[in-house]
Amino acid sequence: MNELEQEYTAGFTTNVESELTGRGLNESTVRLISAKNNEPDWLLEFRLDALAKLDIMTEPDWAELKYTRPDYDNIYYHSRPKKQFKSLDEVPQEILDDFEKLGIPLHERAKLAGVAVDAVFDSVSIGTTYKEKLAEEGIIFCSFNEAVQHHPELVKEYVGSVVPQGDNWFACINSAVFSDGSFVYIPEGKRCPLELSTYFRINSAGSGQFERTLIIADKDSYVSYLEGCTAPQRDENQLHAAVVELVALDRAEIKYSTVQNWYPGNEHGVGGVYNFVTKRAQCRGVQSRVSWTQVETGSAITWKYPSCILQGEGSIGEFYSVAVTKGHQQADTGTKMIHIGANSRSKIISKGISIGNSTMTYRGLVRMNPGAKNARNYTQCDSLMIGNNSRSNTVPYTDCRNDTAQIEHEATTGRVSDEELYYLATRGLDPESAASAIVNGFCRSVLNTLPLEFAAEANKLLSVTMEGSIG
Amino acid sequence: MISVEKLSASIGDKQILNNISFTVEPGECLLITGPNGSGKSTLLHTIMGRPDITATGSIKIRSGELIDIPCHERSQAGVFMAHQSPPAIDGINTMTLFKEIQKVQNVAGSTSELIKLTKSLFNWIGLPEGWEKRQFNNGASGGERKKNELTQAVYLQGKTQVLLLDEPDSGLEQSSRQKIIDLIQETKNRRGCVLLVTHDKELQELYSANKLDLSNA
Repeated sequence: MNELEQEYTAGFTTNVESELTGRGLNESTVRLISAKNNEPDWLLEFRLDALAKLDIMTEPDWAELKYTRPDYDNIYYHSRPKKQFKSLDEVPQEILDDFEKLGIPLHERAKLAGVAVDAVFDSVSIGTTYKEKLAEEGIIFCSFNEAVQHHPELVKEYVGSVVPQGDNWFACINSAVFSDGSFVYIPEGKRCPLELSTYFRINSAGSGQFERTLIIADKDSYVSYLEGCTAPQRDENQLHAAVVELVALDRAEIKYSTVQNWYPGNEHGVGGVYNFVTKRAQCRGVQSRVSWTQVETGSAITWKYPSCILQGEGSIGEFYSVAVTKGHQQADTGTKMIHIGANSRSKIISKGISIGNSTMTYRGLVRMNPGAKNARNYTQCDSLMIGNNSRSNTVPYTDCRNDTAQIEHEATTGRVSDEELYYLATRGLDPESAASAIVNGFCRSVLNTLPLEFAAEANKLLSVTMEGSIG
Repeated sequence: MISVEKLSASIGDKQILNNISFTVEPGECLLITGPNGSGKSTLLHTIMGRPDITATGSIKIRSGELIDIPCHERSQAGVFMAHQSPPAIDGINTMTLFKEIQKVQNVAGSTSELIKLTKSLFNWIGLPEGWEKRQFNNGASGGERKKNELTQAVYLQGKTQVLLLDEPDSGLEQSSRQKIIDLIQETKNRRGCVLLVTHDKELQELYSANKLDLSNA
């Protein structure tokens, strides 16, 4: 099957003068970032600690991914528009237009109804909508740096408590040089009245994005959160190494959805974002609940395993994933469910689709610790290959240390052959519509779990992804 | 009508058809004969535009030249093929496919009308209850798949200018043969033309008036 020129609609570059600093992974970069953010000493210590740990760590090589290691000493770890803005009014029109083009209006009058947005442009958050309205409810939704300034006690208590600095190579880099990100705190008993959303955009060349998201849902609270990501089309690879930490206390619920559409590289496999992300939730309280939903269509390389530590008794973890690779994309993605509390439950539904010359690997771990009495897991992972050159792997690990725990696993693998695409063509369906119809049917059970506003977006994204991917 | 001139076709470096020419007038049926391997099916697939077949020459229908346009456009131009061995397609159910066909072929009617119509077609052809909800041809027998082809042919007969039937009868019970004859007649009545490949003696006899023998092609 021929790969046609693939269209990446978010691939434009915004013409804003940026200040690139902090070249190389070293102490002066770390100190520079910390100073730019005007951070307290304890946070600088946190960063330096991570930098020290990096010395004894190595980049993981166990994933089914082939790529040239990033040259960590040649990356600019901090990029921000030259001019500083105190409020959204000061943000240059180019940047606002950029977000507008991506369907994320930030201006007061054009704000998305029912959705509060934090927009992160390269290394800095440029604005958060509905902040005051949320503050009336006691909900904190702001950039990570603002949280450090205004709510240091909360940040200090929780940062690194779910993903410690030395957790893995990429998380450790992030802990040393993270620039900004989003922070959410939902107070006890509050149901967040809006969907919260962060929109990440890498613009500058030669830079990386290292953001940190920290969400804390206090007892009996609820929040639904969505992140979206895009980047311009560039020939060099851009590095994205984020850390997301979620903490759910007693009976709290966090719903975290991702629509990831980083630039995947061109049809020859040149360029594209390296997406190395550590996402982990700790269901700390009794009957707490976290759901990860992800629609992953972008990035040249994806290395990502949103996980749940089910510590609280009766806590629930869920992972719903649709991942599509095409062209020369490679994805190694899945989840981990670590059952610690009794009666904890988890559910994994993963749909992987590989098209063209791409490779898709599902990698998952379900572990039942000795204390996880009567814990249960259900896993269903299905993979679909389209065309005759795509590859798919399924690597489910299970580790059961409690006799009363139950693990159930179902998996299917299918291939949409050239013969099937031809058959649909004989009925008048062009190759993209044919693949799109098959993929939509295949993914329905996951797409149905997305918040309504984003289900439409995800559907659109999937069909755009199909465009030009099959020839 | 369909007019084929100096048509040659190869798959990889193997030449299968060499310099074939024929014309089928509106309202006519052409029976294509020849031993196994003589290229009967390949001829139909070449007209349909299967991507792995390299073809030269000319294939003209009322709306124009087909040789350079992709398969799905030939379908939209009014070429319908009932496949000899249609595949099963995971991830797409039968009703979804009909909806897609309705969309790309611009067939009028609401979704509820479409559901009603296809259900009655499945019933008429003898496909089991709930067929429309099943994944396309999943677990279906050879005969059921053939019936599925005929249902689609009937659904699109108003649009079909050229009907390609590749052994439509094999695996079907005797009683279904009449439905194939009816479909051919209906296509002829609408001034469409039919290209028929079959090993069924009765059908061969019925359509022997107009024959293309590929034995020496």
